[in-house]
Amino acid sequence: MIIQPDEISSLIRDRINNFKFDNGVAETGKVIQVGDGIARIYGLDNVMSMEMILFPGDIYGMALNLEEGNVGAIIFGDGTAIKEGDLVKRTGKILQVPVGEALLGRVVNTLGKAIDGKGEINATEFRNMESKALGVIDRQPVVEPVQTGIKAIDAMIPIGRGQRELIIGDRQTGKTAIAIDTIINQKNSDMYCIYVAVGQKQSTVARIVKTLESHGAMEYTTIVMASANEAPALQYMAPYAGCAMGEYFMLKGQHALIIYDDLSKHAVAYREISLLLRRPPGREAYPGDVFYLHSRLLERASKLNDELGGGSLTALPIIETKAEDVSAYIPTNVISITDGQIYLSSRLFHSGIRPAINAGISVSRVGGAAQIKAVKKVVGQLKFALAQYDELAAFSKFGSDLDKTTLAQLRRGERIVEILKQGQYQPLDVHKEVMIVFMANEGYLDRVPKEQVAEVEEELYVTLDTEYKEFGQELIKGDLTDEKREQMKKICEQVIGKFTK
Amino acid sequence: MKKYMIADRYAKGMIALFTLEEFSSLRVDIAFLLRDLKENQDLLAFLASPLIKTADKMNLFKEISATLHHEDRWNHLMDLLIQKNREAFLDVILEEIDRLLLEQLNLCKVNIRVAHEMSDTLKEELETKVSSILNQTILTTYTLDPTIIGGFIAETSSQIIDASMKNNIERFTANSQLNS
Repeated sequence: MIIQPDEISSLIRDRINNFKFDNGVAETGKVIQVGDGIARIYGLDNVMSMEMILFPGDIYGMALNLEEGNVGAIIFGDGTAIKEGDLVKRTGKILQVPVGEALLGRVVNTLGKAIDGKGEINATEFRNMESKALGVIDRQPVVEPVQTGIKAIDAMIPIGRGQRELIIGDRQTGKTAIAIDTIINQKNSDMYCIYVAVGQKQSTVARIVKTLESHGAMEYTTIVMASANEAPALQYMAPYAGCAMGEYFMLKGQHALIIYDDLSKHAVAYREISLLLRRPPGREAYPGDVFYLHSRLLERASKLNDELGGGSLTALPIIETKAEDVSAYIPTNVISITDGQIYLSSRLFHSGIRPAINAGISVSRVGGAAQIKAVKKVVGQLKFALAQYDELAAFSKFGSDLDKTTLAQLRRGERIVEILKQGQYQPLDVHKEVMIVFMANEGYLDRVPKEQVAEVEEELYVTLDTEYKEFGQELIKGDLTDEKREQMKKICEQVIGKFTK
Repeated sequence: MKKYMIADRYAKGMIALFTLEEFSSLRVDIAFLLRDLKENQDLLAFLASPLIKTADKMNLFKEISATLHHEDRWNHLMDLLIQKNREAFLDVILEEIDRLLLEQLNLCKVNIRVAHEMSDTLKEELETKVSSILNQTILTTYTLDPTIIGGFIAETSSQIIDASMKNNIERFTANSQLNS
């Protein structure tokens, strides 16, 4: 494109004409002490808590501790250029981030600045990072599902739009994989996604971006990154920044999904800040308000009532446990805040069951109400059968003679375990989930050896994609009628017949 | 910078000992002491030195304070500072007392930085403008600073009015970069 010189001149002329001369009145203070991402400031008598302040070199900070005689502030960025005696200005504003569609497909830092090398973000709207969660009157119970595309979750631990469902487990148990799969599965839905990476390696985030790009999921996703090498202040505020971005969609009557990966590192960053600000340490050296840190964040996820547009913000916080200890301080806090948890077990992960979801202690407290009717009816006693199998499997290891019923239960359980296995980045359509669970629950899979279950599953999906495409779409609409059930049985017979001849 | 925090406590304590009627004489005392300290750099070094005996420091200060309006209270303050090893902060404490005094009298010291010499009429106009922004009666000092290109920067101890050409050019550049 050729740029006309007069166009540039007119542009400059307009900008000069529209430029408002500012006398820049600001209340000031002086830096007394600076270090470890924290500054102590003398002056700023009228500064508000959580107010943005400006250090020399356009470095922003936030006033956190308003003490007698000085103000404790966190610095967003490299504080090495700040010196003792430097002038600090009040901005009179609470920390804000750009929000809106302009951020989709972009990787941004906590302050909403692009870090993906794709140029500036031309956002027109801004929201406060910290804002009060909506009240009871403004909300309604969850009524629509979030399809994760993961059989085990959609069947046994359903998540509703506006719900807060915790993903918890030790390191390397597939917590992030569940979150990424869920984002990928939103491709043809009306859900916007925000992935907040707190304290993670930059290489890990780069890999996630690449995965999402290769699955075409970045089009509706924003990634907020505060990696491990960034100031604790940026790590502390990153989830709030992401939440503000998600709230924008929710308040517009749209749907958004936000993933906080992970809140354990977020709590650690906050602990670091608190200790440096000399706030009294409590249990595990976390400050007294560490519960409020997460509760005020997760309370912002909600399903709005119809008068307010019916938008939703679903939160999937992630917590990393140490040695499967869910009774540690931060895990218990977040468990009590959320509406359920998906517990990932390293024992299951290493025994080849992936996703390594421990159905026994995983729960969704409100998601059942949002589950698609067909799924709800088909799933039935799946969770119960699985729990029963776990118990019987442990018992049968003693090698004693087992009766017919027990053997049948074991046989069914083994097949349920097999069908719940799922590869990474392979989220499933709802109708396929319904069909495979139906097949296992109705005993069709009992007719084939355990080793053949994967093949049967594959064949079922191919059959559904080729011969029953329309029925698949019909299946998930409305209730599960007798006609639909008959048709499902017919499909199951057709598929299983190929393996039992 | 911690000295400002310390000075603030002593200044508040000292001011509480005076009535509104005594403020003007107190200001005269402060001006005298500050001028003395400024003109005799060795004086503060003498008072702050750990090698000098406490009694000698006190005797010297008593000689200076003999000419002040509120001799006793100044001596008591110095005595306290010596006891607490805060003699080196005397100048900062005096400045802080002065600032608090002015605050109580709704007066404010303002240092105005300008790029070029200004006519008296312009100065008067500027002072009226700054005074209306700060909503206080101001006591001005002027400094020449060609780096600000044009306009002015008015600084008080807790506020800044940056109406300089330099600041506005920087803002204009930043806005242009954001919009492009």
